[in-house]
Amino acid sequence: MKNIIKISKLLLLTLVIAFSFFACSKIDEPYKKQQSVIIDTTGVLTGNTITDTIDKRVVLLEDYTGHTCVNCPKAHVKAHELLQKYGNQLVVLAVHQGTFAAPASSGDYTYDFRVLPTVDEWNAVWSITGYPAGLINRTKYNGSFVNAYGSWDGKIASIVTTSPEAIINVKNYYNTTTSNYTTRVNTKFNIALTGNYKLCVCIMEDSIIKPQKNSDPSIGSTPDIIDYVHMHVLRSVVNSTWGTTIGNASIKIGDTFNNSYTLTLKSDWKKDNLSIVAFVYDASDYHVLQAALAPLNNK
Amino acid sequence: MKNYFRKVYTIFILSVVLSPIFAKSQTIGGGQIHGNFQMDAQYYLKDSLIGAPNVPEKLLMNGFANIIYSNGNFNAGIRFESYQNAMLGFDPRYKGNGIPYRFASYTNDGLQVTVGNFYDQFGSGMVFRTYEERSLGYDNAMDGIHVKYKPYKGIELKGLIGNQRFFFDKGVGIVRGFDGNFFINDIFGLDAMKTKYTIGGSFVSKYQPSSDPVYNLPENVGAYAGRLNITRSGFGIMGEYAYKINDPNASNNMIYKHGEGLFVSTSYSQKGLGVILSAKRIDNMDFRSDRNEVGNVLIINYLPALTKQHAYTLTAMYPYGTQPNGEIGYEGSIMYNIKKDSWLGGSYGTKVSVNYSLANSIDKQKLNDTIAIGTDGTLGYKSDFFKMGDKKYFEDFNIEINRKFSKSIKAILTYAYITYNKDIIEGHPGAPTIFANIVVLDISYKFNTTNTLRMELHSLMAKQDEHDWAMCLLEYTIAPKWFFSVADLYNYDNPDTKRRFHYYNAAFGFTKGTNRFALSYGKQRQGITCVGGVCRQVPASNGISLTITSSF
Repeated sequence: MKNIIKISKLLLLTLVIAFSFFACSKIDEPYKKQQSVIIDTTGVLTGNTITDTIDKRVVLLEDYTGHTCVNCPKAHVKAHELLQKYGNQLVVLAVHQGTFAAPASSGDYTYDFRVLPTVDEWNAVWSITGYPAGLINRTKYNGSFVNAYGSWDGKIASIVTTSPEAIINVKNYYNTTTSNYTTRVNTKFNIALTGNYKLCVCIMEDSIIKPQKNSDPSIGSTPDIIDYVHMHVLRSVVNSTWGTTIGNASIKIGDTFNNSYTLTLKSDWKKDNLSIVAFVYDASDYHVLQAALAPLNNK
Repeated sequence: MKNYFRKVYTIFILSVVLSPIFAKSQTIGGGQIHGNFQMDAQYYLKDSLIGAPNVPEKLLMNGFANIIYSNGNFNAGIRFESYQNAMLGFDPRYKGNGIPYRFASYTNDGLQVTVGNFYDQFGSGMVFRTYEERSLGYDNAMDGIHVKYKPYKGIELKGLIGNQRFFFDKGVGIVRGFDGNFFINDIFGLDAMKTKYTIGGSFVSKYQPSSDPVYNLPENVGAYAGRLNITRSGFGIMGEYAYKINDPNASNNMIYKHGEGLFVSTSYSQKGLGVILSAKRIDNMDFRSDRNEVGNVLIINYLPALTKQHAYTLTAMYPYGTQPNGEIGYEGSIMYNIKKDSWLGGSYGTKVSVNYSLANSIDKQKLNDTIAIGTDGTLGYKSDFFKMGDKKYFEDFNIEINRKFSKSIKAILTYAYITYNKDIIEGHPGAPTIFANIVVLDISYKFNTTNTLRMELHSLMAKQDEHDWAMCLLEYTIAPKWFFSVADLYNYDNPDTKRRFHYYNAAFGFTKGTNRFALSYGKQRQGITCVGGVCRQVPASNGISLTITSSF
């Protein structure tokens, strides 16, 4: 009997210790926060220029994807929802890369969306091995650049209300004499910085209709959506894989850099669906200071 | 106690620095130092035909060495790891050199204390298991404090706290755990009783701060489990039930449903006969110390696999990977030894084993008409606990006959029929479910006590995926030092006639004492490899591989 009492006390003590140490956080509805982030979506992109330079943080979301990646449409839907939520404070770039983006030798998936070797050179740094995956401002979270799409919203929300270190104005011009497009990117720094800062200018195309593998019946047919509308597709990087250095060593508040590029457009790109995406980043750790987007043509 | 630790720690450090590491066990201050080393390197050749990725470094290498010092009740050790860079198929975040594992532990009056890194398992592992599996690049070691105490005969208590390994760093979440094992017969002095009872319980909680502006996230996620084990003579039954509170994470698409796991296994054995029957149901049990991670990182628990781990190349071509977000599985195995000197058993007896396993989806229903199954920020779905879902993930029926015909000849004949839902297991919806018939014949001929020739003949027949395969392997062993092998894996019936590749391989190895060297040249097909239901991708490759293992 003594043993039983002793053991019972020990068990009771054990349980008390166990449960008092490790509390649980049971969450009841509502599971989502209400009006947690107030986003100004009134900044307007009109014509072929950004008429009012956005002086708020504009976040770059790079969605690494592929046309034979069955789970990627879920990430595309998430990116679309985030664009509706964050308006012009979010720029999405769909980067087709990896084995799921590789074209098949025959069948429905022969089209090559990839921008080679740029996208592979980029991923040599990010080390994405599972798709879909996203980069938020090319910033490391928990030691990794790679973010599952379920975590995109939270990470964007955590930085979108902060003040940007720079503002970017993008203007696109069409020269009727040469029939060329020119992009002018004006970058103005809001804070003093030291280091190496680079500008990367990309061409992006919306509404490319090509097949896409899909596993989610709520998005479309499975396993293939033959007339899938591919949005935000990276078409080229105008100024090489890692862009152009615009600020080296010491940058003062108000320092401004102007860069112009003549664009080379391929014949199968639809000009009305093209946009220029520009972003400035810290070359030492790749993190993006600010991004901007401007459609190529008047619409 | 502090002085005791400082003293032995100083001895340990001195011993590591001063002693020639790769020599035989060293005696230091009455203690011993021992360890092991392994290096795998591959020189990659270009082979775009089989889909081998380009390797800019040409040569990649994974290596490690464990060095352990033991002195009575005291143990301490380190593991040095090197990835220059990680070999293809391993997570490239394993990069560079480091000492990700170091520990010191002592035992005193029934109390065992470990500080630093440690591995442990509670019950079947459904709420906590940390382990290392090098072939997968899997290591979720804890870094913190682990105590184990036996306060009374038949009672074993364990407690732990720490972070998990994240490549050469640590995860953000803090894991706390407690486990108790109670051997009823010992506690109540029923040693003479034939039936033995053991009950156990675990509680594990992880803390991860959240400032997420979108979701109200639980910062403390708890999971608990209870288990019972009864044995009597050759009969045994064990069962464990685990429950996890709401844990929205990247793997379950941020749903707030609780998680559940049930595992039951019963076995019977007597001379010449063994029977095992097991069942499990898993629902939303992906449990990690970082809710944002996916893949094989920062996983706190282990979901037991109920499928046979095949060893031959073609029977292992379509392995099953556990589905933590929902599966029901069953497995049954019978092992029978047919007596020697009988008509069926032959002169040396014959071993026959039959195994069947099935993995299926669980029932999932909409919460209501407006919310799709698995919608983030909701409870996700409803599920009838005992109802099967409508998708078969995996099925394996196999039979193995192992017979020795004479002192020189023995053979193993294996047949397997595998149903493999590639859509679910590899995440390729649209890929057809594969139905494969596989036969493997493994024959050994022993010329004398040292020279043995072994041959494997494989055939896999399927009307899906890459259709039919055949393989032949010849291996000559001169015990105990040398082995030589050649093999060819041929996809002779690939529907794309241009992809009817030969994946040939030639290898030899040399062993002297505890040192072993193996060199091989050949091609590797693209696929997946799984150990205990945990899988990783294996990319195609072509090249020369060198493996060195050593221990002292």
